[in-house]
Amino acid sequence: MWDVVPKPQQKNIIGTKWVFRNKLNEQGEVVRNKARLVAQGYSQQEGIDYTETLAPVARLEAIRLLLSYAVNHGLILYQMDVKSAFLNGVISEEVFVKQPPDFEDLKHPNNVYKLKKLLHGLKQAPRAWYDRLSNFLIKNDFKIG
Amino acid sequence: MQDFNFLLQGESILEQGESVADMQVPEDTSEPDQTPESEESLEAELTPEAQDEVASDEAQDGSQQANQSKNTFKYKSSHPEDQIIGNKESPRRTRSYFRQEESMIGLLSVIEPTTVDEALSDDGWILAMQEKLNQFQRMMCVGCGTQASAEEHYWNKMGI
Repeated sequence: MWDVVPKPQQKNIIGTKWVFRNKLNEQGEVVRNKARLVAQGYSQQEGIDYTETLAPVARLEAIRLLLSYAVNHGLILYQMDVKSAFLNGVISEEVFVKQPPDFEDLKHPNNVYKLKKLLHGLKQAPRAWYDRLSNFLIKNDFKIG
Repeated sequence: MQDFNFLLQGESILEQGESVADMQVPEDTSEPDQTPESEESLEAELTPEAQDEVASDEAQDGSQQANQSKNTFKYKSSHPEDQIIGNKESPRRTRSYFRQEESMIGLLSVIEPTTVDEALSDDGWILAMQEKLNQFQRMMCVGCGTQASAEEHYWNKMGI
């Protein structure tokens, strides 16, 4: 996920932040408290902390097209989900983030994390996940149409 | 067939639900219908007829043991039975069941805090943050530095 390193000089350190969300059930009742650690990506500098950010996503219209195509041709559709996809994306840039607020190492509060995986909020997070997913699919003989 | 009848009587005593007259019909077709006891009745059939008394006793004991082990085999671990919290006889419950259960609400926070300080004043949110940190910890496995091993680990983790 990350390496703990002493704070480097002349490097941009990106802050982190906890974001709290309640998960609701169908009746709108709170069923779960979810905390998410996000990087404050607005302080990232283009060219240093990130380069490419473009990432294609499925539009609802495209999904509808696919469904109607499948119905017309009698195809069977499968679907899957990747749990915590962003946290499994591999980061190619050198990005340092601060320790999670109020969960700092008491002995070394000035150490920072050198990321090996993505965090939510990073500018390149969607792109890096898309790269990983598409590389995997292409490696397994899927074709980009 | 003698021991078989005896076994059926014993079972009806154990069951205390069905009448003995029903159970005493020694037809072959009636055997598969008694699904919970069908294994024991098969055992009884396999025992030689010469040892009538012993076999029937054994079969009865066996059925009792089977009934007991049906309830306890899950808990014969290093974990003592008296330390199990809650009722272990209760049937399996799914997440949708717990959604209905009001006692869960006590552990959850209804508000969504905007700062960490607010969150740290609430047990539910501290747990949520700790859960996230544990997830990070789990992802920081040995040998995950390379892309290939990370991918392998990932699929392993997902059970694929």
